Amino acid sequence: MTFTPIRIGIPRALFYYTFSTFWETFFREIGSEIVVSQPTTREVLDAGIREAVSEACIPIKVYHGHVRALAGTADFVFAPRLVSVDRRTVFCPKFLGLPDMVRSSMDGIPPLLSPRIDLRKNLLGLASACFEVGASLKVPSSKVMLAYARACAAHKRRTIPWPPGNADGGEERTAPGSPLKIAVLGYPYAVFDRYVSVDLIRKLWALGVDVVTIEMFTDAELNEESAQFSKGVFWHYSDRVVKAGYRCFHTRRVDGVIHVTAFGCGPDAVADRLLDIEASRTGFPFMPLLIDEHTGEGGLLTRVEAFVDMISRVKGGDGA
Amino acid sequence: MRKVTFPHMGTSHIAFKALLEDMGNEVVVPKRPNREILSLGVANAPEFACIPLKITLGSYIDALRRGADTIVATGGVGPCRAGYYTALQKKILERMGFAFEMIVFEPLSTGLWRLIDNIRKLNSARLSVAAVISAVRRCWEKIKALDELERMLHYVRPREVVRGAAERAYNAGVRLLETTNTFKGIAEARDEGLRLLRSVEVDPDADPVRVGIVGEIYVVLEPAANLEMEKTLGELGAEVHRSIFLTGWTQDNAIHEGGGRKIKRAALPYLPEMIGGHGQDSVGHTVIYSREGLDGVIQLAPFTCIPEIVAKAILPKVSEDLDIPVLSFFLDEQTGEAGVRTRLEAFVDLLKRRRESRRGFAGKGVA
Repeated sequence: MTFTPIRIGIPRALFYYTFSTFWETFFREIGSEIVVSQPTTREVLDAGIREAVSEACIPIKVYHGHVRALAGTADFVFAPRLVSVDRRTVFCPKFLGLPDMVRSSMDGIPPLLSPRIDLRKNLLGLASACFEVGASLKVPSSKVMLAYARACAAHKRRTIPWPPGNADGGEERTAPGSPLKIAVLGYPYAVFDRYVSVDLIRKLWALGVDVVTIEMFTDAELNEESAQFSKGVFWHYSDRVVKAGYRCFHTRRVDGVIHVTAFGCGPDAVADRLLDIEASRTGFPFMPLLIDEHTGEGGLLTRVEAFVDMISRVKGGDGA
Repeated sequence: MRKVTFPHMGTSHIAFKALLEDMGNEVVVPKRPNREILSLGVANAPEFACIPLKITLGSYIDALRRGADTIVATGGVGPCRAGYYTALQKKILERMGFAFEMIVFEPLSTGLWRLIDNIRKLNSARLSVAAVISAVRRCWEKIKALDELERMLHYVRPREVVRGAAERAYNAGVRLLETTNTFKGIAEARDEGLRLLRSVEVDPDADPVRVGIVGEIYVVLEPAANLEMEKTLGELGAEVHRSIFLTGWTQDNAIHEGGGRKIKRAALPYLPEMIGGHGQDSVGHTVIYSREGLDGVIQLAPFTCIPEIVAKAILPKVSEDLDIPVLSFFLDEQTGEAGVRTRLEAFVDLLKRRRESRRGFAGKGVA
């Protein structure tokens, strides 16, 4: 009798960019095969637009597209309900209802594995999510325990490939030590998805700009900005984006900030305005970049070039 | 003297005005949201914020210009954006150059001390604890009475013989409540209002279809935000059953956000998670309405509202499983009255025809 491992499909979208190491290690250790959907393309986005509720944001539509791409190639799709990964913040309501949206809107997809991950009241929330998955796949708990431990270790050890989430991750940063440094702030699933972000990071490199992302700020650094808020931003990713932006405005260790925001993102209506107000208060070069399904290479490049031009002129002026 | 304003939501300002005055404040009553207020909000709010943020922001600007120096509003701890709106609005208004104090009532689970502190700040008249409690209770009684009148209005309106008669009786009742502020006076005004509504001439043969309204609290409770949809529905001969009244919501959310066990249970097969705002309630109420045999459900949501987008993704499935038509409206500053009316007419028509054909089948079954 031959043993065929269960194929677990992982959509290359949303939290994939943050937690892929953990879950890929976990599934491999419990003896499953992993199928990660291919990087986003026009077809993936179009499928998502067709299947997702029309009011959803671009990243959620992209997610639906990746789930569709996994139909036929995976036995299960791993679509966790991500509620909270620390004790302070929660994820956007769309993350909280994600498996339910997918189940209600899509037909003919593999069954979803959607454990609830909530570390607010239970520090072992991640372990219980693993056991939940293990139970639905009928994996003995001793094996789950070991896999969980290894996944945690792998997550801690992970080096973030640059840019994260891409198979060709080892690529060298092309513009280290260049005179201009710009922080590209946004959610990992928008910034590092080359299709969604219209390859913004590489475009900046091509312009000779060194790029900084949220991943390069330590938690301690970000938390130093907490005192700036009478009330903290309560969404996980937005909290990091806003604090990283404030950090840049206050330490001035980059020359400009680009806020990448995907069309239809709810929390960004708040995050972008908070950044905008603080940038204008501190007089720091700041550009929001709204990306929608029709954003073309040309228009985006023009705006980015104009911004880079502007800050390099300002900087040149300082030096002179 | 403190000059206090707060968000306009339906008729609730009547009760809040009396409460704040009892506590020794001057009240700058928020205007009923109109074009001008909306434009003020739209011009100064983030483009993709929802209409409740834009309306309340516009309303604050208007009130601050009329001399208000204190804004009282509710907070929240997420994940709905509204929980952060007061903090954002404060920054926007300060950036615009207004000087004011913002007093935010957060859910009690975030700390009792803050509530006490807020009340102390608003207690300009230095009332005793007992007097504050009495004023709050009167405010509560008034909101309950206002809700009761509105429920009765929903029942009478689709049955009235003379169009507008129910509304006139209701308005008279609201005015009575506005002019009294004792427990006895509130009870009498309520009874008189209900009596006026009951004495409206109704068509004994009227057989209105029953429509449930679910959705986000602000656009459900503020007629100016939903283009008076309940009125239109009543005039089209539909009896409105509204899932949210201020009294019920306050009981569910004052201590922890997202209460209401029965609704959660009903939503469980479709949306087992409290996703913030009223997303889960919209799904749960739709399930309950179908069990109660209502003919259809309307979902009201602000454009870009995150929890209601999640609900909208799920409602078609609920509608299919439980065989109840659901119509979703996402409202923003562009929404036009004519378009809304046309869609409502078509929907009510559909519900009437569905009901007829069902009754037809039932009749044949008996024969």
